Amino acid sequence: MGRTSVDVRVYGAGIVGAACAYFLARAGAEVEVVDSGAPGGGATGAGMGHLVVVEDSPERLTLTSRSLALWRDLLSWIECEALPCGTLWLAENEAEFAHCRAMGDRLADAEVQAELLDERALREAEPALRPGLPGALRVPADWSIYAPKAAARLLETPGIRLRRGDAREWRAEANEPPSVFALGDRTPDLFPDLPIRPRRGHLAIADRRPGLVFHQLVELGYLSRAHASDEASISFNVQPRASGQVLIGSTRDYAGFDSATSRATLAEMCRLAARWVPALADFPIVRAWAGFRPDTADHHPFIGRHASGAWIAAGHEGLGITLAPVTGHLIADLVLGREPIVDPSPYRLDREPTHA
Amino acid sequence: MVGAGPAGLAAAETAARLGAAVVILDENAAPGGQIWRGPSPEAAGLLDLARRAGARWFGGCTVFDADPEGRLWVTDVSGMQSTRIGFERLVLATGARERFLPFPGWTLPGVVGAGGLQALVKGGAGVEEQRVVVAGSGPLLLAVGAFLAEQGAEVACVCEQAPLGRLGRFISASPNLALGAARLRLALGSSPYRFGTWVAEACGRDRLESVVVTDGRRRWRERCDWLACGYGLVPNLELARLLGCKTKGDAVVTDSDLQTTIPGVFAAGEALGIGGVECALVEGSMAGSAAAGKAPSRELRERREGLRRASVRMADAFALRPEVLSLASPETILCRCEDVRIEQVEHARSYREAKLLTRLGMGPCQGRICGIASQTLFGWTPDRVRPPLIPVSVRCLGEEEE
Ligand SMILES: Cc1cc2nc3c(=O)[nH]c(=O)nc-3n(C[C@H](O)[C@H](O)[C@H](O)COP(=O)(O)OP(=O)(O)OC[C@H]3O[C@@H](n4cnc5c(N)ncnc54)[C@H](O)[C@@H]3O)c2cc1C
Ligand SMILES: Cc1cc2nc3c(=O)[nH]c(=O)nc-3n(C[C@H](O)[C@H](O)[C@H](O)COP(=O)(O)OP(=O)(O)OC[C@H]3O[C@@H](n4cnc5c(N)ncnc54)[C@H](O)[C@@H]3O)c2cc1C
Repeated sequence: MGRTSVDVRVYGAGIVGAACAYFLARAGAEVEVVDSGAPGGGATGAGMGHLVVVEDSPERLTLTSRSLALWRDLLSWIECEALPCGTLWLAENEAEFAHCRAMGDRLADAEVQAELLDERALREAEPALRPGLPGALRVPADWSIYAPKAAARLLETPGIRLRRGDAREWRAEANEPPSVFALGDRTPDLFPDLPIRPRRGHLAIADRRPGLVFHQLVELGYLSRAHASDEASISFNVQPRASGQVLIGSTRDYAGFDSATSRATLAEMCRLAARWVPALADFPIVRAWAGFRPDTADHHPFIGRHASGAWIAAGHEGLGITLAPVTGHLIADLVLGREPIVDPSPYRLDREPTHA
Repeated sequence: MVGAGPAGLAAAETAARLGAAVVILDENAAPGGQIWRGPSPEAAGLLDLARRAGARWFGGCTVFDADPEGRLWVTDVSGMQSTRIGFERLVLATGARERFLPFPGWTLPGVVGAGGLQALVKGGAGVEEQRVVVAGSGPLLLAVGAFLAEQGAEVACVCEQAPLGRLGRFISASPNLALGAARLRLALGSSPYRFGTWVAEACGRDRLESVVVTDGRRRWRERCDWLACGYGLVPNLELARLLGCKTKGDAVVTDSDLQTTIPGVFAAGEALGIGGVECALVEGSMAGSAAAGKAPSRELRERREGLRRASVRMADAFALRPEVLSLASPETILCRCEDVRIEQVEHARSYREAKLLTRLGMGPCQGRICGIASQTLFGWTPDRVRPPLIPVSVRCLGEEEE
């Protein structure tokens, strides 16, 4: 095999590393991607693959909506079981329904299409939901995808080469090409000053029974539990897959790197799912697992340059699949000295962590 | 006791006799495990003894989760109901299943496992005057061939991939096995038992019509209605691995009392490596005794050692030849649940990578068939085991703990 020159090296072949490599290669760079395991085998293979616009902070709204626009282009040619299912943010009471309305207004300001469903419209859209819910906010342009396949397709882009290897081989002082580190929850192995913690999440997948749910269904309370709290939490979050399966989530807690599932947590997650969608109670679960969201103190990612000279793209918590394209684009902009696609300052590595 | 085959029944009988409060569970409705299927006097006899000593038997109960703190979760065949059972000591007598290797045409209706066809017939399927080819590897083939012949099938041939030379050396070193084999050979009647041959391809339009048999030099066609094909047995280790018991190769690791690396959890029978019925009975008695608090007798230990030595020789004699690992063509299906072809995974570097990219092993059977096949073909190591071990309903998984 003849050696060609490497313009940029990307460590980590999860969805974030794959997207960084893709946008760099698309700009003409020769990119070498290095991963110690199977591409997509980290958080990317454990996640739900919900591509979702989130507006609980201005930064998150900008980042997610820009990323979704990039995803739309990518999904025109990437085969990754993509389903344009949209999202329903479900209110449990009138106060939450009012919150849905406000959320819809903020999305409209950002030119993200959203529509309020009242009780009747909600029943028509999702007859399997338990009766008596006041309504929901529907965001039609969200998707569900299978992220490991998307990562694999992105890595097939001409100009990208994949190599098995360990990022710990990297030395800051060596005469190396620019290096991007997209190591997710393993970032502190190389950069102990970057506080990224594994935030465990459980998922369970039911056998194929198409036609039960049509949107990704998320209870509104999910957002505050995910982004405004570090407490252990369980939220109703159910996704129809292109395969006809139903994916059930989702939980959050800090449990180190032990990926064993917790029986009590799984049980509570299942009970909650059946409380929202009673017919789910009889669905057979073929598999359940736990994975880790790479979490920062303020739950926003690190995207930028480290004191050592390394470029970092990590710490996307529960939105890394959604945010991969905008992250990859921004990294390519920064590394190649182009005009950045979004203002990078909120994602600087040396920011003061603020709770969103 | 999880499993009511020879090992589990012997363990139950022994432990109950020594005064332990025993519960026997098996996912099959009837006791007997793989070998004593259908109405079986041996299974009924052992179970009867165990029950008279106070053991309780629950058929149709699959263990889908367990923890080393002494809890089992059990479901019925529907996967809709579940119960929790506590234990102080546990005996894993979960037996083995057949190894299937993919080859062109193996997914045609009419192609079944060797033990699989035997079980079908014991369950009432008729094979009278139907033409059957039995193929693959292991002593099971001869047993199945003889059984099918007795049931009135026309056994076209039994194809054993292992060469005569190796088997001959093994048989001549094991006189009592030789006797059993001779008896089975007799029952097979005039049908040929061919060493060093294997099925390269199964052919037919909508259903099996014939197979191509080869000895590596020549290829010929055998017309048949059924192909009963299995490449030996592999222990069921999911429950042991879920509990955290150490395994080595294809077997649970134990001490000389058959206690696994998890205190209070014992194992017996095929779960310790393929050893046959007699070995399963001896180990069942040993594990049952140890679990009830009495060290197994020296006589049992010595018998077991002899039987295990023989089983190692047997495994060598029936070792798979490289040709049967490369029968599949790129288009051959490897994972039936998810329709994954060989060409989609042959460049993957690990089972995990193949799973991630193709959904291999992610269907309802959760890799019970293709996991073993791909590990045999590509040398991959299996993935971590997580509950539920079999599909169970959201309601079962969500059951409150009191
Ligand atoms: C249960 C759950 C549900 C989720 N649901 C969603 C969702 O619906 N939508 C969404 O957008 N996000 C979701 N996420 C979050 C998302 O999965 C992650 O944010 C995202 O996958 C992070 O991608 P990554 O590429 O940064 O990390 P990873 O996918 O973990 O990739 C890191 C890579 O680095 C490699 N690596 C690590 N150390 C080294 C080393 N020393 N040398 C070489 N390589 C190394 C690893 O092998 C790995 O391939 C979910 C996460 C979980 C756990
Ligand atoms: C398909 C097949 C056919 C065979 N046919 C013959 C033959 O004709 N002649 C011969 O000499 N030998 C035959 N054998 C070999 C013979 O079965 C074994 O030597 C002997 O049965 C081993 O006994 P055991 O108790 O270890 O396991 P088994 O007899 O296999 O018993 C294990 C039992 O555990 C149960 N079990 C496993 N997991 C669970 C769980 N999670 N929950 C509840 N129950 C569980 C199974 O349902 C099974 O009944 C066959 C083996 C197989 C796999």
